[in-house]
Amino acid sequence: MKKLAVLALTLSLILGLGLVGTGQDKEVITLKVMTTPHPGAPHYGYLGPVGSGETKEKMPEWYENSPVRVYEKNHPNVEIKLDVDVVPKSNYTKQLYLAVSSNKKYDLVRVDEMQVAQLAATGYFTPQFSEDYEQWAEEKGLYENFVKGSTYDGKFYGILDRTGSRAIWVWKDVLHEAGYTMEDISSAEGLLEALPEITETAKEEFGMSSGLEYPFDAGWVVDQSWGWLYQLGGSILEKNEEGEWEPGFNNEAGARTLNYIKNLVDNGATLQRDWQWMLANFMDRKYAMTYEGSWAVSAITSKYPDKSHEELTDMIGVIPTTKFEGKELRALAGGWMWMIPRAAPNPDVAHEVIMTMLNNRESYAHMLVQEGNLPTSEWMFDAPQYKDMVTRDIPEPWYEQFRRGVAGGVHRPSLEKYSQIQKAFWDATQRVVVNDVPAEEALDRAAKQVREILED
Amino acid sequence: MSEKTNRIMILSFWAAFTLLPFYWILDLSFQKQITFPPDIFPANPSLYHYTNLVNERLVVTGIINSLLVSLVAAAVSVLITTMAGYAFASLKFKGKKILFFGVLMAFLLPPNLNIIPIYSLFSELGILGSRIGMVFLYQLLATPINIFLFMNYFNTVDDAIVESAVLDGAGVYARYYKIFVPLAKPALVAGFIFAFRFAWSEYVYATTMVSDNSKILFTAALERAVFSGQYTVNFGYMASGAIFLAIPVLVILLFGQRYLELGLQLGGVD
Amino acid sequence: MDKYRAYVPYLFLFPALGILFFFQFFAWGWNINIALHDVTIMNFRRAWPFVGLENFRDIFTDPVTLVTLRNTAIFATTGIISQLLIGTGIAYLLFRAERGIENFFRPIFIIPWLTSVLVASFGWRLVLGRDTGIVNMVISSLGFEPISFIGHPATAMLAIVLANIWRGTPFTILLMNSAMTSISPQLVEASKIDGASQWTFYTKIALPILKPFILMNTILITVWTINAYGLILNMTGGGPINATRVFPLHGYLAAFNEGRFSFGAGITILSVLMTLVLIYFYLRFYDADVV
Repeated sequence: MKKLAVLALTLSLILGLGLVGTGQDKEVITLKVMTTPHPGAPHYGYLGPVGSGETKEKMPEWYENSPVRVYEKNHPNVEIKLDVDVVPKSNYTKQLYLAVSSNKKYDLVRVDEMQVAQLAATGYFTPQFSEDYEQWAEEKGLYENFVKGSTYDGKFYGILDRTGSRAIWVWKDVLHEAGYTMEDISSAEGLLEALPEITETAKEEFGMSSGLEYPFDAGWVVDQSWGWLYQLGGSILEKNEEGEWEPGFNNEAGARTLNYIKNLVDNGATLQRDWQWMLANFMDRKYAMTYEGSWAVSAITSKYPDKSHEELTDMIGVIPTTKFEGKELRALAGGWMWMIPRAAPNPDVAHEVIMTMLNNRESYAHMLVQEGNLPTSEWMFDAPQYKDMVTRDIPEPWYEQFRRGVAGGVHRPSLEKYSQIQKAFWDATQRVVVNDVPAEEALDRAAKQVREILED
Repeated sequence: MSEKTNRIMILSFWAAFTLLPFYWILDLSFQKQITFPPDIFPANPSLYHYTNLVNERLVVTGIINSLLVSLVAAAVSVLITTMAGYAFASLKFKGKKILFFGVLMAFLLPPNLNIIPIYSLFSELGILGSRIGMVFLYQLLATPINIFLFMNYFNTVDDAIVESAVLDGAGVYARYYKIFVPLAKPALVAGFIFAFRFAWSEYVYATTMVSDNSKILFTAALERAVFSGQYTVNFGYMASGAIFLAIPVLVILLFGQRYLELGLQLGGVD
Repeated sequence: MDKYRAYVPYLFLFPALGILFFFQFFAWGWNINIALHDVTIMNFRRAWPFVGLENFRDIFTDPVTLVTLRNTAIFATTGIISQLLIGTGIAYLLFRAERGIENFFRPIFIIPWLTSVLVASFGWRLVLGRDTGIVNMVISSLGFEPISFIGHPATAMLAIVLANIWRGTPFTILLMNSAMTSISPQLVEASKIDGASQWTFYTKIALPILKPFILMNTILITVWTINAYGLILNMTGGGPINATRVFPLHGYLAAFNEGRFSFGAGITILSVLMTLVLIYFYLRFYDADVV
């Protein structure tokens, strides 16, 4: 009996091994990803399809061209699964820090360009992309401000694959009724002059709350102001003779910037302290104008799906944020990027998937249009696939405006302490706009704080 | 109006105030489209938000994890606090007063304030984000109350019973699990309920210390589900999720009220 | 005769007290350690430089700190006084009510305290919500614009105070109610027979009995209202623009949203010290009265 059992066992072992050995079993690699929400999207970022089959149904063209699929085609023995942690924006920084503190084994993490320097300095991420990225940046014409804004310590820690452009959206009927044209308000001075009447017209004749809503929610709103600061000749930080960083906003440019915001408010603009509602407010026609961004397009086109592009541009106008007369348009350029942690279990696979995404114009363009984002390189802006797809959904004039906005970008300094510098300027902004403190005084104080921050 | 009518009016008013949020949550949770102004009583009640919520894998994982962690934590809590309560009530040892004072002090210091060092310690120990870690952490919440609970309960055990057990040769361990614990059944339930409830409803630690999709706890999962929209808050999830969160409490109140009362009596007012 | 080794009781105590003291006292020691070093997300997993009391200096020079202290003062004062007054009042009414009525209302009153802070936060956000709230339905039916309570500094504070009172008052109700029931009916009878007036009864007889309960209640409510920030964290996140950022929340956000752990640690230490000072004054007040 015993012998029989041993024989049976050995036979089954051999058979089993044989099956395993000759099997065409694929190696399954699971990529652990952390990212922000993509509302209603049957996909994970630009990476790959959601497992449920929804993607194949809703986005069939992209499905076969998604980076994960392409990778699988290039590596026939490999199957990639995506294990994605979707974290709400409001919680994102906290979870990022948690990942860093616990050395979480993510393969890919989405990071706001604003935080790149700080996160890179923690040592949690690797500069995995450096070589490819330099080459890619050169070849594809990555806009310079994106290059500068996404490096830390001279190395590329991530790929800035998409961005948005700040823009002022306008209900043209209110504008025209008040007696102004888009030309009139396309400069800072013009906007300021037109604002009181637009506000009055908006309130009296259209039952709106006000003429203009301006975001005043948290530190990040200084992004608007940074753009103007640079237009007027200032900067966030500049290097002095000794080659050290010091504040570049404690001057006339800074004062003009802060006073401009104050003047907007004095002339009728409403400070919107709840940024979540800004777009909804504008779409509900509660304000004649709003400081929003290129990402508003999908809200507009989904509200008016039946209108032609011509009708849309007749109804709504867009300016790529405020330009001070005579100055070159500059706007703060940021975006989100993929970074790879040191603890990643599959860093090379992750890396290749990202590079696949970037180099495949077809699927890259598709995702950009799908999500309403703007590309970060001339190569993509020029790509016929992108332009064709975009102008199917967006009126061409708007597209041109956004491109100008992106091209004329400035970047945040790639410093670990950036968030504290931002906070100092935000405090100054609040003091001037809300508490009536003279701009020079507020800027002096902010400059002092920034110097202390830089010293630490 | 008589004093009695006044009294009932005021009590009813406070009861209405107390129940208002619950009623409102319930009301909204059954309305598929929550637009302003919402119905005061759902015109077309639908389970839309409930079914959607339980279809979110994250939420289901959260519920399962929270159930696991809470049940285990409650069991552990009852075990260790009956032991401690027994020692305080029935055994002689040096330093009783000091140790008791220590428990009292530990009770007064709010646990939420310890999150920074605990986060750091867990990180050093490499258990940041583990559910076992949370089971131990959650002992912090109910231990002082449960120690008081069992100490007070054991103090009510008749000395005569104890003495006769000693005469029968029951040692210190035997007295614990053969006499005190069996006699304390209602208190055991109360202690279990307390510890379970603390662990199930805890929010700050849950959302800060665990983020893995597979290990996430219910409060954190719910928070994510509600706030995952780019521009909007999912009010439907807020409502249905709150109901799910509150279910154990309501169950306890329906079926376990006397245990609750007992526990509050013995643990809270000492 | 009952013999056991001297170490046996400690065996029984060890699991519970071990865990408790670790998570409380050892954690506090660790907290102080963190507060004396420079610990941020940057060096969290590496060496921590010693900086002495510098973090405390940073806390006091941070302009937001003053705002948070002011917020805490407003939140705590309104919250504590309301909870005590309302709670004691309701407890008294319950005490005077008939059994049936009391048993009907008591379980209802406990519910908020038993539920999670998330339930309180979500519930009140829905009740006060601009697009979802019954309060705004009333407001708009009166002809006004709906208010986003969470969106404006002043009303946000109102919202969290309201939610906090809703959640915290049950504790006072329970405590004071059982305190009142501990006054034996014989005492009440005796004082009636002695011809004492209601007022005399309350001040000379009932009050001294209730004093220790009132003291303990006040201490606990103070500790919890000043230091519990979970509700506020979820309801408003400290906003808008720091309008509801109370002191302990300032510490939490500094540590976990801004990565400044030692700053946060310093704040929690100060928060506890503040609470201890308050408790000291309560005790002084209490002792003075007893004399």
